[in-house]
Amino acid sequence: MMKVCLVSALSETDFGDPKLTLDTNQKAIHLPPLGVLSLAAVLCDRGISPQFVDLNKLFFDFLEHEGNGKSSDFLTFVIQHIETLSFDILGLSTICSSFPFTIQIAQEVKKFHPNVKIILGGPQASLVDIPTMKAFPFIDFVVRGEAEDTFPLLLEAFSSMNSSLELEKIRGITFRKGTEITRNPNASPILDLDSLPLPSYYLDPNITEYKSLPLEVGRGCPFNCVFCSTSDFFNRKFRLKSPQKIIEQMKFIKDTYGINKINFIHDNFTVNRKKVVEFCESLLRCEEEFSWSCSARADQIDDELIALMAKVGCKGIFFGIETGSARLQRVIKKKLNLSDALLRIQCADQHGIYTAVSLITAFPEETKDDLRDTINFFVDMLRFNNVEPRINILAPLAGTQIHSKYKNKLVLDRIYSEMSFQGFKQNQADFEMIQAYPEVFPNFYSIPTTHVDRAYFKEVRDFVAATYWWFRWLPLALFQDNGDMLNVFDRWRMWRASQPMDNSAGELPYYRSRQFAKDFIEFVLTCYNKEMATAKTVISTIVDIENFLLPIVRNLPAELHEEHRIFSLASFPYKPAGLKVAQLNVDYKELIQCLRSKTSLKQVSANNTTIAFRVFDQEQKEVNVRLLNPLSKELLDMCDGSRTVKDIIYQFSSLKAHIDGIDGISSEKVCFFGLIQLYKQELIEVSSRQIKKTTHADVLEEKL
Amino acid sequence: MEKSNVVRIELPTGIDFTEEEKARIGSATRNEIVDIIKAKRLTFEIEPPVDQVI
Repeated sequence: MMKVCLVSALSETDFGDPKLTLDTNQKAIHLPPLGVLSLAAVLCDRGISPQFVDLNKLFFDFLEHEGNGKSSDFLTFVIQHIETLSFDILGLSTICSSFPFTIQIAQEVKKFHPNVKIILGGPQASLVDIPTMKAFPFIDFVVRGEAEDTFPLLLEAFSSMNSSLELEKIRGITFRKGTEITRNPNASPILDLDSLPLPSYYLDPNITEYKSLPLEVGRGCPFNCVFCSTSDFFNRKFRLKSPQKIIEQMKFIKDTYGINKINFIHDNFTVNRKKVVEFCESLLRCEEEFSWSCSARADQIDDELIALMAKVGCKGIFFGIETGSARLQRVIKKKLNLSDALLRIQCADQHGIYTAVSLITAFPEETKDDLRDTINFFVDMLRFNNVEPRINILAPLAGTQIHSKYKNKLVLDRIYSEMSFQGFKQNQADFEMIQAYPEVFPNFYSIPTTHVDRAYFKEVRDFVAATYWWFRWLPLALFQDNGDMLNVFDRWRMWRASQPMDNSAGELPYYRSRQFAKDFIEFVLTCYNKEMATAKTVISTIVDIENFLLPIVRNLPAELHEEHRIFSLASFPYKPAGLKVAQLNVDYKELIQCLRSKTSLKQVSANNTTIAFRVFDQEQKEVNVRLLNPLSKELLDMCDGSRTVKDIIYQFSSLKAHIDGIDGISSEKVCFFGLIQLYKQELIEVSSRQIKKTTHADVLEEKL
Repeated sequence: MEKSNVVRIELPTGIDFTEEEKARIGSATRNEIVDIIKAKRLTFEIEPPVDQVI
């Protein structure tokens, strides 16, 4: 029997620096490679046990080796690993961002093992099969589209006496016949997805370590957006597994791997409302706890359905909104009603469902007004607590209508979509390959824009994404104050051009650097507030808030951990790391209500308030903002780690014989109970030992 | 959103609180949560967290 090795596509992100990449990826969400594991399951059912190479896992191993100075380049590292395996057939999964790297693996393997059959599959190779095989003679086959039926047939043909005759009968493959490349007709989409086995998750040795697992719940999107490549890959044939099958597989994952967080893989889960309702009701009846996420079109879901989904554990929805311009919605054939889409996002937010709202800019027909609408839509999303807006530059993906229309006009200007950066960082060899074969690697190219310069699109994109990264309320406040974020950007750009250049960002992109955050705050205070602001005090206060938040969220020092703590008279209360107390000039509560409800910032009352910012959760970094009453503020000031509870009570009582509003209760009691309240609200911690007056919170203050 | 008693609270000898006292002091020392700021959480795909990039 032939031995098969399946290699996943590299999808992790390489930021150039091994430590940065490792640290970053440790914090990110990882998923096992579903496509390869699904195919492996089908092969296993037929008695073929494939070997499996997880390139993402290898990439992390490589980075750790590289940190020890043991390896030179990742390609060599991968090849060394593959050389330890024995196989006759190498199946490589492909995606656009790491396609150059996959091609290089194939080339190296073929160089030393000319008899090994090299088969590409997955989205990228399926869409660029002919140009790929023309460009790279070491590729023997491409399995196009859904491979679960096609790939086993191909393996059978290899074993057949009349192999070449058999090959001609297999739909969905592209192969070499002598010097010619033959493209057989497309295979039919697999209609009964319930019949497919569960992916061979067990092949992944780290399977139980994932925080969540992907589960394919269906395939195909019936819509026809001009920029989307998956509609072609799945033949626009919408399919959904039966609710019973989905729940059965969710339970299996939970029972087998102990994981009850499931990422539903489907471009458009909610197209068949009846089936989704049936799924939710079945899940409710099964009384097992799951949390799950999915993708949906904003016009293929309604508030009632969102409520039901939330009730049965839906924690995340990916909404592709694409553009904030109603005109472009029609041009790109997405055709969403943006007002309705906003209502769905708002509804999901109210139900505590975390949504990713994805936008694209730099469409060839995009005007400055279209861009304005998109940018303002992006910033408007910051009104919600559970919405993560995203914006990327358009990539002309292979197989899309937009690529077909502009394929002869593409330029390699290196103003990339983020999509091109995901996966392995392109080196010089990659660039040469990309340059030589635009039809194979179109996603690295750009479509020239008619109305606005592409560099301008890119800078607006980087700017608005950076304001979201660095600040919580400031971009929204500027948008609300000015009514147009692009107007703010234009003034910012002019202001920045007039400033002396500061290169402290080093090699980092400027908008990713802390220098940007500092510069932008300076711009707001010295330029925006003088020239453009209508609610100056509010804007200044928001800058203060951001200044307080930045060091808390970004530089959170480790908490002191002490076992068996006791809150008693002998304890030493102290302000924990990640706590910041601020005096503000406006009513914080009113301010936030104004921002959330889009009412005029000029209506916010001038009112001195004391606010405590507290990072509540180390992992997710959630900041609780509390409005402190004067009594709590006084008590909190005394908790510096140098005094015991008893000392504080003594000092407090000697200062306060009488406390307003609490007649008849001794100041000792008020103080003791007040301290307990502060502790319960996580505004203080207690230690059994005296700690230095310079607490973590004070250190933070110094950093400001 | 308040912390449970991870730490044991020992009331000083001789100090006891009536329910009314608890309610009155509790009211005077209540600090309302007026905002919850969620730091960027990456659910669907990977981007470099800023604190790693700077």
